[in-house]
Amino acid sequence: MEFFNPSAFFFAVIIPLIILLYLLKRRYQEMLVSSTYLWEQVLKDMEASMPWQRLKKNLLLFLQLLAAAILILAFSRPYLPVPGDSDRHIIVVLDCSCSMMANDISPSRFAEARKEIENLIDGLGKDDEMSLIAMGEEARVLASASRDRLMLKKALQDAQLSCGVARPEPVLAIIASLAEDAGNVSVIVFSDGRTAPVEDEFLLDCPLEFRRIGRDSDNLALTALAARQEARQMILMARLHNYGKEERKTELKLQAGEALLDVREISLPPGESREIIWEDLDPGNEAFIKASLSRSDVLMLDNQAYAVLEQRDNRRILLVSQANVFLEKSLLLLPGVELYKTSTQDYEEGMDDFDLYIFDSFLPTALPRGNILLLDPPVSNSLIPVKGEFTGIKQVKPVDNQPLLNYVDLNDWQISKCRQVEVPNWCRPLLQYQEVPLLLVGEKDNRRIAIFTFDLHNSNIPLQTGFPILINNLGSWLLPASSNTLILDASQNYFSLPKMTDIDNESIIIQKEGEAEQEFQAPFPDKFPAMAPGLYMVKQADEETPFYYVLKKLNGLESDINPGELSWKQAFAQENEEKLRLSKKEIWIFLAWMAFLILVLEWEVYRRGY
Amino acid sequence: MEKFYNEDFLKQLQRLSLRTKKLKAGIQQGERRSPRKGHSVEFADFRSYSLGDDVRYIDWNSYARSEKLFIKLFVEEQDLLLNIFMDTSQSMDWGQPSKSRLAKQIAGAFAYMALSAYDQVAIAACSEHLYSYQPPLGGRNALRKVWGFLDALPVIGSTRLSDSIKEFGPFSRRPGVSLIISDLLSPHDFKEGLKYLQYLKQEVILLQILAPDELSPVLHGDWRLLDSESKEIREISINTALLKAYEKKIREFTAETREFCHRRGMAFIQICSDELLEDIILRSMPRAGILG
Repeated sequence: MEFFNPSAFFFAVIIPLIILLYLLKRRYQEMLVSSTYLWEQVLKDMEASMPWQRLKKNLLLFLQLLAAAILILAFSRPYLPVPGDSDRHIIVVLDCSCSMMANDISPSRFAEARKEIENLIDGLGKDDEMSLIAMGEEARVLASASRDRLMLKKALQDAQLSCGVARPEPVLAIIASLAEDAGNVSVIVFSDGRTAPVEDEFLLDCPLEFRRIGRDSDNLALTALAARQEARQMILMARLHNYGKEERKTELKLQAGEALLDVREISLPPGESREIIWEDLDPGNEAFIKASLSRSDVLMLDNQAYAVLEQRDNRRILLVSQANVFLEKSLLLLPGVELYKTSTQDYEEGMDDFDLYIFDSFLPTALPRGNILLLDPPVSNSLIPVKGEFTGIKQVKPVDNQPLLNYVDLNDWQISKCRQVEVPNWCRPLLQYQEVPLLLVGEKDNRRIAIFTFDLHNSNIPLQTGFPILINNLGSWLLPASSNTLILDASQNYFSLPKMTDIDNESIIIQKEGEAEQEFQAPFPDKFPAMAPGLYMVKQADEETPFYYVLKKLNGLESDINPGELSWKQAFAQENEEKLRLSKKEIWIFLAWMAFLILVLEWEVYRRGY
Repeated sequence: MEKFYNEDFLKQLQRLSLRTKKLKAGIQQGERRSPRKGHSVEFADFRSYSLGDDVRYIDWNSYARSEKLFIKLFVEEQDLLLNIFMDTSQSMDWGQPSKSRLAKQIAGAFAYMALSAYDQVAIAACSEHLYSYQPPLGGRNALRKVWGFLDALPVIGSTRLSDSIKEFGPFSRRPGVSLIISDLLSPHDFKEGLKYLQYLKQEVILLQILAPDELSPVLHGDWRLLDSESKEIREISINTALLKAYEKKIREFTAETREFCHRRGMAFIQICSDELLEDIILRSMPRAGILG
């Protein structure tokens, strides 16, 4: 006999308690009798003739102890392995991954699987139980050990297809916990067999039945589409893969908005992929390019792809300096920047539409909104406390390996003097000489700030080869590419809007490419849904141009729809093992009845006064 | 003691007498026929003449018919000695109604019967020892003294019948009838004492008195029983099975005593203290062949 709940044996402490209570309960009444002679004789006779008579005296106690022991045993839920398959518990796993959308079986693999499960529900026996688990990126228990067919069917209808991959591990963990408490468990998986591999080791002692759904593998997929802006040129790369078993031909169509950019006839042998690159495309002012395949196959979702183009606007830099030719020249080497100059006297507080401000030996009291590069911080500024000056710097040393110092040669860098500053918490030194910081970077109040503690004119650094590289690195960091595109992978079904101060409208519109607009009123939810793969455009209600793009991608694994065997079959016990024909028969109900009968007997014994 | 008995009862008592199995040879002439053939008027038997016999008792009519000399034998009427052994231990004072009270009534009634028939009555009070003894008294005038003695008997000590009876030995002068009234509830043996009485040529009548609560106790639950004589305590959980076993034990004890008495030619009767004196004396005793 084994137990589902052996921890119930802790209740056994009640047994000595009963004995204790029984001992405490005894209250002797005193009585004078003529002689105890005959009573002694009777007791002697009883004990001598029947040894158990000594026990019989405490029949009630023993019945109580027996009832308690049986109840504790019942609580521990013992079971016996019995042959047969009565009281089955069927755990049905439904693959809800993207590949189940394939329509090689009309109307889809998913619908077919649902139909088969409905038939299974109709065929359930009176005492059979069924659990339903949806297998997607996560496992979802739709119904747990239910005998209610209506409820099971309703739960089945609630199952939703996702565009993610089917991950078996969470499902196996749920099966393990469901099978732990149940007797005769069997698992039926409805899937096309295309799932993520199982890395952890699972060993379940219930049998598995795999119902493979799907016949065809005819799928030509656009597995990648990427665009890159390079100087004034746009480079686009697309990758196609033929998952079918025959050579396929298709037209690949490139569109920017309504404009057709290119059409190519492509022929791909089975199991091969091909990359196509365009270098001379002109998408005009469109924000994204859409690629689509003209040929229809059993999975249409991967027949189109989107590439969002980077914004082309130049970043604006304001250099506030009396004169700094070296710096000016280095800044002009940065790609896509517009450099504006002003003197410290002409700087006004209203100049706040720049992406980067460079202050040379000057810092305004009110800091502008953009990022800041500060050279030679003046005494008593609002950013960094200056304690004095330091001279005698012999060697400039980097602090650890910083990506911002990549390819920067620090040899022969000479600095005659620098400001001695106190390093605030928000920044860290990049360059220093014996604990004296020379270059600091950090973020404060949503600004990226870099500080040279010395005047470039007091060094030979602008003449060194490393200088323009350092300025380029710092420029890339201080002028991050303005990203207005969010890429979601297949497992992410929701997205949040970036924290933008200029969303001042009461409502925004989210439109999936090719579908109707959806309007959201303020206050906006934290998360917006993006279930289906594709391009979502977010715009303010009164503007035409979207300010944000969300591109939800398909998982490339799911394009391979070739129905196959389950790779994680070995996690289950094999059908032909003897053990599988044994179901776990729980006996607590018999024990509960037995305890009840003993209690009735105890009452009768008490009533009769034995 | 008079208050125990009414006139009718006493009259009825006068009509009863002890039915002894064999007559005991007495020393005074009484109304009871003695086993000795003597000089009374009631003819008993003939026997052949032998030298030295009193020639006055030769039956000449027989000589005339048979020419042989026969001596006429007559039944000699003699008195009987009734020894009453009263158990006066503390256990006799237990139960409702009181066993000792009934025991005194019965003893008084027997004494009345005996004295009415010009027999002699001796009374021995027994507990651990023979602590009081009334030597044989005869004649109706002795009745008051006998009753007075019975009345004054205290309840004292524990039961050791055999020891008490053995102490009675030196006082036993001649054969007689011994009536022992006791509840017999004692771990100490009483049979030796009864056998000793037989050795003293006593016809033994054993009268066991038990209270109703001794015969069939009405008890349940946990009890601490205090022995009225030994003062020992016994803790006991009484349930139906135990009560049944007790009643069985009482029956076995009675049957064993009855068997012992029967085997030894003793009379035995068990009575319950809630029985009426009249019923005991006028019905139960004659039915048991003790009185007639």
